[in-house]
Amino acid sequence: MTAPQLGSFTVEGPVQAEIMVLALVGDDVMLTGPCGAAPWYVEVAQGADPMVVVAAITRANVGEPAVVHSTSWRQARGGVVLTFVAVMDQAAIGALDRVAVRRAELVRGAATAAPGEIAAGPVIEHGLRHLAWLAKDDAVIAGALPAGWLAVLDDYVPEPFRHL
Amino acid sequence: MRKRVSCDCGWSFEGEDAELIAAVQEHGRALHGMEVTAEQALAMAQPT
Repeated sequence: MTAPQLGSFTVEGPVQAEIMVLALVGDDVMLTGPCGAAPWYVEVAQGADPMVVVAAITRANVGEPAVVHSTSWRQARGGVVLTFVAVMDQAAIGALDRVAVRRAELVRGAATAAPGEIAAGPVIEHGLRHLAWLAKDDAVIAGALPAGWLAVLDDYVPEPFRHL
Repeated sequence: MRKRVSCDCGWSFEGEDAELIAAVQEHGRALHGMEVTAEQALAMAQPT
């Protein structure tokens, strides 16, 4: 841990997981999480499997996820940030704070360079596009998604995992 | 002396050193996978 700013601390480290905890409420995809309706950051210790870390911490703090999948990566927050979507059944998110996910334009980099700073909206948009791709490509994922998700994902352009 | 510390995620805690250390370590480990030493927890805290 580097020298902290007095009065506050933040997740840091060479590898960090950014978890987008998502649930479908009605026809709306909601962003939620144990730290509020925002991306949730978790340190991934050296040698740890990020997927295992994300699934376990989601299970411990929110509930059993229906789907956990890495959707993109980027360099940010002083390290490499691996973005994961964790799809939860609506019943699992209980009274957690939530906010509806709005559609967003993706941020595109140059042919050999990443884009500048990326806000959460485009990251979630890409995560949902990746989930749309998985839903068509991976029968296990398609079968694991809670009711209603396949119809919602039909509105997203399917995209594979990529560097943002 | 009471001190306060907050996490970027919005969580915060105010209390005496021992309880503050315990709270920061528990929050860091449980929610963020962070191992925070007592020294680090105190270094991050701000007197109220």
